[in-house]
Formats: sequence, structure tokens, C-alpha cells
Amino acid sequence: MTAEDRRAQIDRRFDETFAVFDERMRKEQEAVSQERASRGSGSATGGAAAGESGQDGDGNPAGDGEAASGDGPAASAGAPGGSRGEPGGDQPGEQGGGGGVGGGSAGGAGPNTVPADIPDGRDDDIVARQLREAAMKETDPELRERLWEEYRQYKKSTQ
Amino acid sequence: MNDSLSTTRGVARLCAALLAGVLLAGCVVHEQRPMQRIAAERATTEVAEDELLDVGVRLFDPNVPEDEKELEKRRIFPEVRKAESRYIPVLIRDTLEDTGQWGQVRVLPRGGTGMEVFVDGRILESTGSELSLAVVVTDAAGRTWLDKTYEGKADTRAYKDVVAKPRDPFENVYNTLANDLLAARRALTREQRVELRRVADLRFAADLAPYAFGGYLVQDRKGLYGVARLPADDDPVVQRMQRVRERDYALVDTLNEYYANFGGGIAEPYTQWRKYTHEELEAEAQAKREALARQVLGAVAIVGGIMAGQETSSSAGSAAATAAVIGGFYAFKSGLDKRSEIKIHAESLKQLGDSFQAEVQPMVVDIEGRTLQLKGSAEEQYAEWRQLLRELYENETGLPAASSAAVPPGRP
Repeated sequence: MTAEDRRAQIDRRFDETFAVFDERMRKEQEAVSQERASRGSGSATGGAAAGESGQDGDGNPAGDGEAASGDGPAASAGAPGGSRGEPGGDQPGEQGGGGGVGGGSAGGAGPNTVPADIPDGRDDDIVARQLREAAMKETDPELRERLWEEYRQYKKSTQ
Repeated sequence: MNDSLSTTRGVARLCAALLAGVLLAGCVVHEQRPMQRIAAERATTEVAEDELLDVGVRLFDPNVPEDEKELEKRRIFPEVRKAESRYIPVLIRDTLEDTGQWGQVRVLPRGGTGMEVFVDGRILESTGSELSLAVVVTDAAGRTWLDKTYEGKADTRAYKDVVAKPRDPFENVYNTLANDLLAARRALTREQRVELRRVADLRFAADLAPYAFGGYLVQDRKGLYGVARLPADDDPVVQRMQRVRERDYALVDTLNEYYANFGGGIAEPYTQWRKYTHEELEAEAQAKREALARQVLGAVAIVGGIMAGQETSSSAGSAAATAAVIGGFYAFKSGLDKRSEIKIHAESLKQLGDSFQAEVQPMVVDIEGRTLQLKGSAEEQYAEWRQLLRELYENETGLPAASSAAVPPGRP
């Protein structure tokens, strides 16, 4: 076997292993993106400190994180494939696109639906928060209403 | 008679002064002025491409004591700390990335390599009210840029609107670090910055194929790495190494995505937890001040009443002294009652910690498991690439790879 043949043989093995590795990375990144998308549809938060440093914080909530990745002057040295200078696309600063808390599902009476008389929960303490979360996750309508009732009573008792 | 009267008056004045002091200390409202926000300096002009430095923020040391009593005393919840040791690097990364002053900024596992600048840290203190981090910044050449403790109090305005305007209450800490990092970079000459990128590339290459790349690096007397010479671009080993390097970036990107996702998931509950913790800590501190004030006030009134009772001969004076003693007793008792309120706050803090700990534990376990799994399978691939690079080198040069090893530099 000549040196040229041997190099070609080594290159083929390189190509095979690169292909396996690239496929694994692609799948992992796809899975992460899906997780992020599913979370992003239910909450407007994420990247809490991102995108706002030094600003007055008056921007809209969804936009606060957008400046976090890759759009600064430094990000122009991009190259595809995850190598140096690639704009850092899907970072947490970009995750702010969804609705607010409790806004994950619209209408209907399924889980996550918050009754109209329930306040937004910003001042919930830990007990109220747990009741709220349990009610939002509950799929049984009867049980869910009982949990919301518990929540209402608890909120009344703490006011 | 006059002497005893003046003594009584002196004691009374002393008691009054003590009372006033204690009352002031106990009743003062600890109101914080709005904290001045520190901005991270953002790039206003484009940084030259060959000077853009990549930054790796490694997972922090959670600094969890093994002693249970110590954990309880310092109110450290191990799982929360583990989560913070992953989340704080995400916040630092976001802050640095937002400035536009750097190349790629990535969160790396502990011991992660391949970047030009590395941020390492240890959590010294982290509550809803205070954050203290010991941070060390080094570069691929081996220089130490920073070795400093960053601490700050929570900007409580961040707790007021957690949902609509999410921002971290310790943003100032991260922004200060970002500005220090920038100042350290500016202290380097352009040549040093450009060389740093080459050193990082060569150290990566030398780690995988020391026999081929070790000779391109030198170390000075202080142990700092420099470039001795550059490999030829058309060298087949260099070209394959570049392809491996691209995979390394992809691996770093994927791990970084894991951490970013973790950060996105934990951000809201963590901020809520810190908010409640901050409120409880404040309430506890206030109760402590009030308890102390009441107990001292009570004690002073009792002592004053007894002394005045001994000195007075009139029935009115005697009645006033008795009233002071009784009043003092009740004040002292209410101070003791206040102590039970402190216990309630302490218990609330424990409950909050336990509850949040239970919430984050599965998230920490998940990211830990996924990271280990990915790193494990990547290590297998790297071992194969090491072998292929060795075979390629031997094929190209006709030399055995082992005997050609020059400097075997560990990866930064």
C-alpha cells in the first residue's frame, strides 16, 4: 500500500467518525431546541440577566433578552458548523418570546387554565405558589376547581 | 441625701440614654436607597477579528461544606448550590456576550478547555440578599488576568417585577466582572492578543498530537506559553486537526446549549426563591433588632426601677419605681416573645430552601447526567481521532509518533 493509499484510508475513517459525531451533535442540539421551544411557549422568562446589562430595563419583556447573543459588533466573524465566530444563535437571551406565566394555553378548561378571578400570582408566597402550580397541572376538573378554591381561601387568609 | 439624689438622677439619665439608644437601634427602619446600577461596557466599534478572544466560563465550585452543622449554620442547601454553580456561569456568559467585546463565550464543564480565556469561580456566599464570588480569570498562555472576590447586595428592584422585567438582582456583580475582564484584555498588546489565539489553537493541537505540534510551542521561565513557529497550512495533519477542532467547537456549543437550557428553566423559580429568601432574611434581621431593643429596654427599666426604689422615700416615687420594674419586666418578656418570631423566620427560610432544593434537584441531576453522557461518548471519539492523527503523522513523515514528542503541554 502506498502512502497515498494509506492517507486515503485514514481520511475515510476520519470522514466516517466525523459523520457519526456530527449526527450525534445534530440530534442533541435538536433535542435542546425542542425543549427550549416547549418551555418558551409557556413562559416569557429565561436568561434573567441577559440582554439588559446596563440598560434601564424599560424595554418590553420579550425583547429584553434579544441582544444577548451574537448581534454585537464582535459577532461578525462567523463561520458555519459551530466553529470560531459563529453567531451564537439559540442562547437563553433569545428565549423570551412566549407568553406570560399562566398564559401557556388559551381558552378551554384544561390544565394550565387560570380562572378569571385568580390574581396574577406575583405576590404569592411559597404555599400559594405550590397550590397554584398544583391546580394548573391538575387534569381532573373537579379536583382542579377544589385546588383553586384552596388557593382562593389561602390568599384570603394571608391578606 | 444630696449625694444619693444625684446618684439616682445619674442612674436615671444613664438609663434614659441607654433607652434612647436601644429604641433608636430597634426602631430604625432599614430602608435601602435605590442601588446605583453598574453598566457593562459594550463595544461601540467592531473588534478586529484576529483579536476576538473566546471565553470559556467554567462551572463554578459550589463550595458545599461536608459538615451538616456547618451547612445548617450557613444555611447552605447543597442542591441549590449545585444549581447555582451552573447557573451563575450562564449569567456571566450572557453578560459577557451582551457586551459584544468577545468572540464566542461559552459555559464549559469543570476542566473544560479549548478557549483563549477562562473564567473560574467559587461561590463564597449566595443568599437572596448577598452574593460573593471568588473569581480567577486565566488565559491559554498561562497568564492570570484576575484573582478577585466579587460581592454585592441584591438590587431589590429586581424582585419587584420578576415576571414582566426579569433581570438578575446581582447584575452589578456580573457587570463589574465584565468590565474588569475588559480592562485586563486591554492591558494586553495587540500582538499578545493575536498570539493568544494561536497559542490556544496550538495547545489544543498539541494535546491531541504532541509529537506533531509540541514543537510549535515554547514556555518561558515563568511557564507562559508562546508560539515558537507556525505549522504550514497545507500540512495534512494540520488540515485534519482543523476538522477535529471544528468538532470540538460543536461539542462545546452543545454542552453550552445544555447549560443555557438549564439556565432558562431555573431562572424564574430561582429568582422567586431568592426574592422570598430576601424577604425572610430582612424580616428576621428586623425581628432580631426589635427583640434586642425590647430586652435591653426591659432590663434597663428593671435596674433603673430597683435603684430608684431604693433611693426614694416618697410613696409616689416608690410607686413610679415599681411601675418601671413591672414595665421593664413586660418589655423584657416581649423581647423574649420576639425571639420566637425569629425562630419562625429561621424555620421559613429552611422550608423555602428545602422546597426549592426539591424543585431543582431533578434539573441538576438531569443536566449532570446528560453532560457526562455526551462527554463520555465524545471522549471515545477523541481517542479514535488521536489514533488516526498518529497514524496520519507516521504515514506523512515516516517517523514513529512517540519518539517525535516535543513539549507535552497539558491543555489550558
